[in-house]
Amino acid sequence: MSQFPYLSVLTFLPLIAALALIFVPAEKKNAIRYTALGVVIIQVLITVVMWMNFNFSLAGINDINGYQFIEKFDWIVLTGIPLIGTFKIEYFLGLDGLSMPMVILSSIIAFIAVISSWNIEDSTHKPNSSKGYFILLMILNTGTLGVFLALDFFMFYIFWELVLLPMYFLIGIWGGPRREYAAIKFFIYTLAGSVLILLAIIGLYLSAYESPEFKVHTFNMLNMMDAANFKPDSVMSVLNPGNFRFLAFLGLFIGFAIKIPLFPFHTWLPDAHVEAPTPISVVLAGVLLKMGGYAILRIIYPIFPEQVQEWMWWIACLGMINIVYGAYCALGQKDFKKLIAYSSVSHMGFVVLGIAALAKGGSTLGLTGGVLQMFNHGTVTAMLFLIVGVIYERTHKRGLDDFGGLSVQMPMYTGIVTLAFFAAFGLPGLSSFVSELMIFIGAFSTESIRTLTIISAIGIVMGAVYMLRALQKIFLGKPREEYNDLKDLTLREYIMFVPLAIIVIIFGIYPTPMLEIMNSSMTTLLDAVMK
Amino acid sequence: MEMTNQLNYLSTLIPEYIIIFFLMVIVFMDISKEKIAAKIPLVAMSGIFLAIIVAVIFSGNFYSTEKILDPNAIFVNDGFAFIFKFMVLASSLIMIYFFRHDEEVNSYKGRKGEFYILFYSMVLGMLLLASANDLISAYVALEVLSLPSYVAAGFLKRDNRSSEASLKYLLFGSAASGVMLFGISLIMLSVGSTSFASLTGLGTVIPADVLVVMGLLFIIGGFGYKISMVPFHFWAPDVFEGSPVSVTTFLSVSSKIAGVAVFARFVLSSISPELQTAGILDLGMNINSILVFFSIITMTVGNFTAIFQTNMKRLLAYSSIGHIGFIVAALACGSENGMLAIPTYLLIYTLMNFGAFLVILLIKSRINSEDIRDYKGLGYKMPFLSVMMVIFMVSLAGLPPTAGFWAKFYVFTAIMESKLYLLAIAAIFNTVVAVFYYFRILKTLYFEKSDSEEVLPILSTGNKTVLALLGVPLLILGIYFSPVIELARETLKIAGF
Repeated sequence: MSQFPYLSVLTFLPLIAALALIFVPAEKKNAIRYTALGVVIIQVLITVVMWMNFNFSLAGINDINGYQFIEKFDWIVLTGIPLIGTFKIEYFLGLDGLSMPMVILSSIIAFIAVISSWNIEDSTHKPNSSKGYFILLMILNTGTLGVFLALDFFMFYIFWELVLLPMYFLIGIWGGPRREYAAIKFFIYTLAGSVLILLAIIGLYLSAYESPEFKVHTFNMLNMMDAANFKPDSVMSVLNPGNFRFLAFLGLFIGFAIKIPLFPFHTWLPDAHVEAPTPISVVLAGVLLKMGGYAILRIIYPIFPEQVQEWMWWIACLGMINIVYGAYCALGQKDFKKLIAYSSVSHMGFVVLGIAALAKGGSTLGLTGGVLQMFNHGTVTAMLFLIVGVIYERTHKRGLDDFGGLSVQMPMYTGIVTLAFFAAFGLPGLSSFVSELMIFIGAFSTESIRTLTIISAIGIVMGAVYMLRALQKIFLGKPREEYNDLKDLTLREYIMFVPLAIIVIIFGIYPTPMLEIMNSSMTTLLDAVMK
Repeated sequence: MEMTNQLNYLSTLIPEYIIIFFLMVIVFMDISKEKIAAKIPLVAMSGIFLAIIVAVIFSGNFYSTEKILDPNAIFVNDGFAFIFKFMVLASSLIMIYFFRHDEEVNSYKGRKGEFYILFYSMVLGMLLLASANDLISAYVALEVLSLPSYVAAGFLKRDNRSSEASLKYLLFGSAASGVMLFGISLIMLSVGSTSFASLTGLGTVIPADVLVVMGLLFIIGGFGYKISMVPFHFWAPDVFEGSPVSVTTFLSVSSKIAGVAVFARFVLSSISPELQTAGILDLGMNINSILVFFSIITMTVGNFTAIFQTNMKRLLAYSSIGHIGFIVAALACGSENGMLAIPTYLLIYTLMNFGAFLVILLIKSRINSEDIRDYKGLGYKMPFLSVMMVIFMVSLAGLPPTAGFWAKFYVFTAIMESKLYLLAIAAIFNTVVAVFYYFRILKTLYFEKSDSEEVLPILSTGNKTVLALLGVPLLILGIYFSPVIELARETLKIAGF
């Protein structure tokens, strides 16, 4: 693969920029901000180049030849380790139809986040805190891209954990009034999931070989997907009756479910989202939540197909609970940001419902809808949190009852808000409709979860209810005197909203570009999990 | 023949002879003129340096295939001993840097020489412990280490806490060594010899012989006291809190390295040779299940009690108890990987702990407090120090991309490989709990505003260099971990592991 190492540059450019930023004095705000902006623009460009060179026919879920832009070499090799033999961790990055939408999403959200962070200030109004902020944001950027691109389980884990530390500081220093509580809650909750994942990783590692002939333990995910590669009497081998496969599946599932967040592991999200500063909420909702869904599809589905088939209904059930419970919680909120947070929970429930719609030889609609919903949810929820940010920066208030009739004072803003809200509850013609439709058709046609699908339909109605209620309370009705001086959107805010709005509208009418990336991978994934 | 044997015996302890020689030199320097006495730290440093060089030179013996080592020798100098001695000596070298910056210790002007004498005696005890291959020599070495420690803990004569720490240490330590001696006598009674080699197979199944069981338990108690394993740890928090910061650091790092060395050798000797290489143990009643039990309670007590601490030295005392729990877990595996994990973990633990204690020392010299509540907002007043503290705390918590994660990971792999699943669950549970109190320190540094506006003196270049020398390897090793395991493996090769 002697081509330009797109994936490595994409992943590690922000990290290098972060290291470089350490040496920039904190007063040179413009240098710092423009460096960060340059980095994310380069990332977007690289993503576009990769998209143009993407081979849509390659599927690549469990087949190494189906992956594109592969970079693979031995990173840490220790020979002669007792009993294990050779301890090998590879540097393995690769892109396929499942990760490409996530990478596109990550790059766009990173760009939006940097624009949104332009005037970031910490809560004690320290003058030069943007240096630390942008360094942490860049490290976060590396972590998210690394998760989506890593195909060696250990690398995946390191990137997964790498995300936690910057988030802790970003929420804890630049966040709202209860930021310390939210930060440590997020950290410990996610870490608890991560250590469960670690145990499963070690168990899989000790059980899997590179190939039946070449008996070297490996962290390579692709090797773990082939059941023939497992040591026959190991804890994770299908052939071993006393195996711990279910426990590993459970551990991995819980670890990833915490990130999605799936009921009942979702309680960190309202606190983290509400207390985080706007750009961090955007990254959290736009990218980090997708890491959970992506990981389930990348890791659990191909490696533990029997467990997925057995527990499919339960996964769909949790998804359904997310949808309905999340929607009702959103309906009961008085704080606008918390409402958006719960709507986020609800919409990730759609993803889970979709990816649980599996039938042997059936359609890939559910899976495709789920992945597409992840992409759409990323863009739409990013818009929603930016919207909250706009109003919060101007008035420092977020209560639904604090506002009224803003459409008079901020008409352009109201237009964007209306678009975003309609996109959120899936108005036909906007991107979410396509993904939600695919999810529902796929889930409904899967007989075992038909009832759950019907119940989830309530979630769609509720979605419209709370969104329109928020719209009405804040933007319609009688304008208030105190907001007469509010400025409408600035140029910077237009730059934030317009790309997302364009994506939402275009993919609502013409979703093919996104769908054609995913198609072959989803077919292969369905075959891999239902075999 | 006899003479060659005798000479071989003599050569096992060359680094110790050098330490003894330099100890005498320091004693004489101390009682001579002021000008000469002022050079003591330099002499001390060169003594340790020379000992390191000699130890490395004589490590060439290990790679010969002929085992010239007598398994009944009371002191051996094999690969196992070498790596621990090296860690002890290297950490002692860094300690001298600590001593120069510890203002509490330096305030006792006339007693500097005395302090270095105590320090050297402790180093001697540690080196002897690492080589000890007989219960009696282990006991003697333990006492050589402990007695100066008692005095060093109470070095701050004018401070009540220090004297209290010293007294508690003395009482507890004497009781522990008395119990251990009794255990040794019981083993002597049953087995007829006190050499470690004669213990083979004793720990494999708990025999009906009560004497052996009691003997083993008492000896574990004695060693466990030195490494502050629960339930023999009660001295540690008070002693750590009361001693001067540099003594606390020394006790927490080097003293535990030596204690773990002799404990590991003891445990290894008491497993039968078959089990040593098999690596997979079933949890019958044997010494490994006892260690699993101790490991779980050590980790749990250490980490849970640390949550409630406000004194930084006490907090790090409990945190080090938690880490010892991990090391005992690696020991409990009984496999080669477990043994490999121990020096690896200790090496990284040394770097992390030194770093954390150095930060505490430097902060104390500026705001004169060891209480976490006084650390508020220091993240902005002392940025370099706080960033280093972030690295040390993240590493202590065992998160990627620092070396602390790899140390814990290797221990986890060893545990999972030996199928000790309850231990694995306890270990990850404690990891998560530990994150809380490590990050509370970071929270106090960065999330809170400081009460006073005073500007603090900046760090000297020397301070920054040492901090960077401790912190940056943690990050580098966090990414490229192979050298540490290679080092551990090379030096453990010949010791029969």
